[in-house]
Amino acid sequence: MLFNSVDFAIFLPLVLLLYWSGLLRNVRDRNGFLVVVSYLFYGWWDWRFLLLIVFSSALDFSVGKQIAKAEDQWARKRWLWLSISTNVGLLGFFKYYNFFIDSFLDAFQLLGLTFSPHSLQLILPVGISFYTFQTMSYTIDVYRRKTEATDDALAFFAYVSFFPQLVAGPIERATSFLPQFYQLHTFRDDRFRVGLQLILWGLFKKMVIADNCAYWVDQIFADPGEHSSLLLVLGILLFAFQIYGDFSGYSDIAIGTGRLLGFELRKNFAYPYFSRDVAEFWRRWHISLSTWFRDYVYIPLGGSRVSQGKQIRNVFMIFLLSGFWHGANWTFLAWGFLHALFFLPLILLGRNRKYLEVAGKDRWLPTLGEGLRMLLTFGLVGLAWVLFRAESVGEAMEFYQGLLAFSMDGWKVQHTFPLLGVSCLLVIEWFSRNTEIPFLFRHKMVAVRWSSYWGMALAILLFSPAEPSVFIYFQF
Amino acid sequence: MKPLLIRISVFLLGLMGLNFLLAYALGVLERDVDKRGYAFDRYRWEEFYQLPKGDSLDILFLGSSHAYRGFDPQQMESSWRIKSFNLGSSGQTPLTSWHVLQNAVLHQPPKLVVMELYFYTFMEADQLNNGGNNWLQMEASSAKWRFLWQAFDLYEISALTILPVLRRKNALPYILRKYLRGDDHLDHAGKYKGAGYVERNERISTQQLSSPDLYDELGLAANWALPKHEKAIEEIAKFCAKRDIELRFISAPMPTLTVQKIKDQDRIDTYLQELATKVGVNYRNDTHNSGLGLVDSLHFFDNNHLNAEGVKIWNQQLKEFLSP
Repeated sequence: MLFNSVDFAIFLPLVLLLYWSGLLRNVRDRNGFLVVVSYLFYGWWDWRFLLLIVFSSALDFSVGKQIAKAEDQWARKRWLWLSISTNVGLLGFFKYYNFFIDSFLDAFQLLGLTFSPHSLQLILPVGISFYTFQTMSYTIDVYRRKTEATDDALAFFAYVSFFPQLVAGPIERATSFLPQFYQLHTFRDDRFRVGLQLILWGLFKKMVIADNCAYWVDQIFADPGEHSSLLLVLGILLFAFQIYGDFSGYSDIAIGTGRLLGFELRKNFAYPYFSRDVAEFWRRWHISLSTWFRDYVYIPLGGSRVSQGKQIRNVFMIFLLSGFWHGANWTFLAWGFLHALFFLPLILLGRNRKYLEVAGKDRWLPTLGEGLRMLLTFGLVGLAWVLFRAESVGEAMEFYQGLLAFSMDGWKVQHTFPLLGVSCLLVIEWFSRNTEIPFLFRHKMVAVRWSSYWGMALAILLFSPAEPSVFIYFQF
Repeated sequence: MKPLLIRISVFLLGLMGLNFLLAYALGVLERDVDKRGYAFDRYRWEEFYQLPKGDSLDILFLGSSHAYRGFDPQQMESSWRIKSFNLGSSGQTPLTSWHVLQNAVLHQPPKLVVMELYFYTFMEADQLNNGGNNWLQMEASSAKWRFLWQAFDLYEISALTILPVLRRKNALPYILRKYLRGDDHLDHAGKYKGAGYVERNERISTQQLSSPDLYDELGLAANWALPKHEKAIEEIAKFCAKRDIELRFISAPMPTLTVQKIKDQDRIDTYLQELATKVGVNYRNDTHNSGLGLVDSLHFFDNNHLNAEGVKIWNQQLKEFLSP
């Protein structure tokens, strides 16, 4: 079920009505209810996906208890590796099997050897990369004694399958999220209101900004050779905002829906396009994934407190893993590699934590220097997005070649329409960069607040495509 | 909780009001600048409902724009004293035809139904544009409500009932083009001549016909016809048989140059013939326009529709096919 579908517009109010009706009087009932509606939500795509999530939940619930019960370190480690290898194995099988088979076949073909392909044409279960990481974080944290193993199966199953963030995050941690399933949440007006505001803003970003950018992006990326450099730059710009509107929009809706149910989900985006270097960008983009890799891979490898050679290795490892997490394609690996190259000088010079505060703090506008740095960072990130969006590395190279042609023809008046939307988003975000929700929703004048609610809702009705489009990150 | 619920209700009511207001405004602008064929549905149904209720028609035409731009009931009446009406509409899918038929028989039951088959409509998943404009013009009846529940998805039902702005927004590009570029689609729509028929007099040149268009790109998937449309054809056949209404299928002529572009035309012909045979209905396939005396550059106004001259020539050759 998609957040931007009529199905969800019916599903969510019904869930809320039952959830807050008073029929579910204790935590156990609430968790049971959440598991049922979450499975309904997830099974809407394909009921067979449920088998995998139930298996993954059951495995990690049992492993968590075994780790807690085990007395010696060796036994604890064995149980942990069972969890990690099974989860990574499932992820690898469903997500990467065909990629590896096809890549091996290609490699053998280069050597003049041909084999008949045995790709299984597996269907990738929606959201598998997200919930697998979430359940793994639980067993790892139990192993590290950062969290207690839970005895409450319902709470754990609800934690893994919680429908607002099940298919595309934010990737939660057992330490902060699981305890929320032990509490009986009370209805709070302020939390509910912010939840609704986040959902409205998320839908606006997805359905008005991202989906309208997508129309042009698809055309430009479908045939980069047929477009001038100017239009290719437009393609990059619009894709940058398509993926941002799409994914941050999804995250806002997820966080908002969580609030409607009384839950707090972690922040996933913090105005990344106002970053002044790539390190800051990665502190503001897909935060729940970057911090997952930081905490479970980068720091255990020694992070930046190791020799320079190992630092370089760690940086490449983290970015290549992050690229590969996104999908079984060389383009994602190349994307990760490029980001590692952008990031490396900052970490080697010890400048990776230079910008911790938001840009233009206590000012209306950024300084000229800040503006230029933001532009440069956006340019680098945009160049890397080409790899992320292209179907193959060859296609991305064709795109880069087109950029270097410096041709300027083909501009049409219609190209300005998505740019108007993007400008509107940038202005709203700039003035909201210190807060969670758009400044318009917090304005002291009632008329401004209500006009923006109605204006955004009407814009969604008016400018969204008739067919709800799938969120980009669902494929990961 | 109460103040919040009041605020949510105010928001939703306000949104509803604004949505109707905006839809109305877009409707007014749309009427000014763009017909795109859909405004003809209103003329068509208004005229149809002006016919005395309960009288019977000799022929009811159903189908896509190939039907409403291809069968001229007035010409047929003056030539052969046949009383007919054309309820074809832009992109009318078989599923829409099925519901148009059910609604039409309540007002004027026909003796013969001639259903035009255009392969493109069998691939159309969206019902809103082709079906919605018919639905909106229909008189209230149980058949009309059945149409709503059976043919449309939830989004389309919302667009047709409580969120008209979802339907009206389709006109936005045309409105913008009119006011930004002065490109008025009204000029290209044609003239409503009565009894559902819309006439165009222009001719397309061979050069225009040879230039790339959607037919060049067209490649049909293995199961290109949607099951819901196949089922609708079966339902139409059953419905007519039950009511003793004669049913015939026909495909309208297309320019030879267009037909040559369609790689899968043979598959399309075979599919439509087999479908007709399966439901036991006589099918006349004039798509290839061979032996009809039609010339691409004289008798078509675009790459797939007959012009007024072409309609005259074609309709004269249908006397036998249309006789009871």
